[in-house]
Amino acid sequence: MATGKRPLLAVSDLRVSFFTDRGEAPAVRGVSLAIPPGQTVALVGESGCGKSTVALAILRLLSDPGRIVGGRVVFKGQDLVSLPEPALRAIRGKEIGMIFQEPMTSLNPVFPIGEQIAEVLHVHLGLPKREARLEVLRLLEKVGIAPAARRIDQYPHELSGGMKQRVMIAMALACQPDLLIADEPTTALDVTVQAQILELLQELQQELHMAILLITHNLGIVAQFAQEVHVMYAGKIVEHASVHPLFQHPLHPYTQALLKALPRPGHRAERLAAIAGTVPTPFQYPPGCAFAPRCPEVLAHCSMQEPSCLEAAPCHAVACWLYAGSVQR
Amino acid sequence: MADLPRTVAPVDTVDLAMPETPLQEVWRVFRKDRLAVASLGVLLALLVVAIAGKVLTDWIVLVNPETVRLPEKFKPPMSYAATELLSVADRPPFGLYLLGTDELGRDVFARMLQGSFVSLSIGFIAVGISVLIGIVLGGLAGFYGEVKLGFISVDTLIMRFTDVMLCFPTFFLILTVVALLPPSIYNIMIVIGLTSWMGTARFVRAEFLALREQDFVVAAQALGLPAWRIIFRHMVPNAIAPVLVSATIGVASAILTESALSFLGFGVQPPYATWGNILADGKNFIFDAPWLFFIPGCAILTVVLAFNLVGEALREALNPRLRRR
Repeated sequence: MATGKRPLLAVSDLRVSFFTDRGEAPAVRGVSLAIPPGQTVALVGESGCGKSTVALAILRLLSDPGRIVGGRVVFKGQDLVSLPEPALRAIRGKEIGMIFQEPMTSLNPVFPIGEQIAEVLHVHLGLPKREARLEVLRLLEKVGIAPAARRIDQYPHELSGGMKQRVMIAMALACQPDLLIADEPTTALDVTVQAQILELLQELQQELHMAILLITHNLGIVAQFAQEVHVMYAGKIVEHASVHPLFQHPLHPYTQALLKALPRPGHRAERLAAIAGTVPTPFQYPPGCAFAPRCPEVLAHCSMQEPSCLEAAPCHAVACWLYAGSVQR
Repeated sequence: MADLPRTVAPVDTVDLAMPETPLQEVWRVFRKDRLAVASLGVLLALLVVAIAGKVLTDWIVLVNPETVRLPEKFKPPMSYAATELLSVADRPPFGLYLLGTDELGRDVFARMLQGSFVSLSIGFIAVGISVLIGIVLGGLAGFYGEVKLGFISVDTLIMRFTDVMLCFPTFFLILTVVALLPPSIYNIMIVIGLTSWMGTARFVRAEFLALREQDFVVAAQALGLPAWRIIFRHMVPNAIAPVLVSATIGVASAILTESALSFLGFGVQPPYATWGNILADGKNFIFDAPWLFFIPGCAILTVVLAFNLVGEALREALNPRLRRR
């Protein structure tokens, strides 16, 4: 860890599989990451690489047929994987908040938003009705919903997407959690609203001193927002570094390709580089390194043996055979 | 944020407008549908009539539905009683047969009064039982469906049982059970309730299966809400619309089932009147005394129609998307 502090959340060797009729699909194959208190850690990857599954697995929210098959998720000294359900429920929403990709459908359509936020306060803090309502008004103002007094009794369908995401944030932060898991919080929103929501998250993070696990496929957001980045591919973390080293000197060919695929100002005429091929499905990973079939710098033994994640530079880990020789262990 | 005080200001110094209660809100929307309000009025009036009927025919006998006056049979509605033939106790109220008399000279008005209580309470209680069973079983199957009990999942167990129940021709099942049990209104209510929950269970299960995958249910879990809260506060209100509509139709069909049972002699035992057995008796005299047939028929029609209209309006009032402010 870059900081010497004990991490708030430490995920080690997390494995998640989906047990379907077609057999076992290992969607997450040994992910380890640590989130220090108050920091933002990003988990980046293409659609289908397992990043949302990691988020759900941390709070044990996977629905059938998904199951955690191995690993530990240690939060404040407790292993969430083996914690009994009632104890876990006390952590969900109170100490770990979560916001989702789709604000449109993440709110219950039959209740006014104020009531939904108040419910969290009631369940976790036992606030009586009037006080809960005051607190909700305060929360709504804090997340920039104005006028809160009018909005509080509106139904989700009366709010815009950005507003709904603000409500989701208010709900997730109602109990002032130490960790917020933001699963693609801006994917469903348009660009201007995205910027506002991110700004809001950043403000609230500073105010509440909370850590954020930011799950996204948008590298622009990562650069602007996170301190550390984990790049995920096919259920594994392939590269892990602080933001600057990662963007300045990406090591893994996959990360390099991702960065090349970003449009950059001043390079208008260039055609954007795409990564050939598609993400392998969890049913059929290629042998060896999962990225080998798409890798421009593939070596002979890439598809024979899987590289392990090694520190190729200080605080910069990468799982790639290209760097295996340069590592001093 | 730790320094932020929980109570920002003393609660009573802040002008805090509490929201409408959900009930007030539903009523505000419901009120706009005039036909439904009228139907609700009809149902409330019938409720009053039913209670009055129970009181006047059973406890303080002002109108006696069991008085037989053979010389006065088949009098059309609004005809006067031949007072010289009848003892004082046998005379109808005000000497008038408001709804005529039947083949035994019994006052149809009195019989309808007595029957309204039976018919309405059978409708309500039977449907209450069936909706309750339906929501609980359907909800369990939908929410805990994947949980295995040994080699079989909860969903399979409950839904196959539902299928088994559906396979029985319900009416004959009711007949069999009623034939074995001592004939009483309560047995009939319970039996009708126990044999008509399958539709509701299937509705609720289907809604729950769809709802369980919805983001807001996952979000509610992520907020650490307990399962019962998620089921009853978040999922049931979202699944209730089709249940309500089927319940209102259920009330109607329970009344009809009771009528059919009474007709076959397995229902409420004569001389106790229900709309069903008045209708069944009247059927034999459809050309001589059409009112015997039309009066209970219209009463059943009115109740069924009113229930359907109220149910439909309630469904709209409960759906926030259809509410206009």
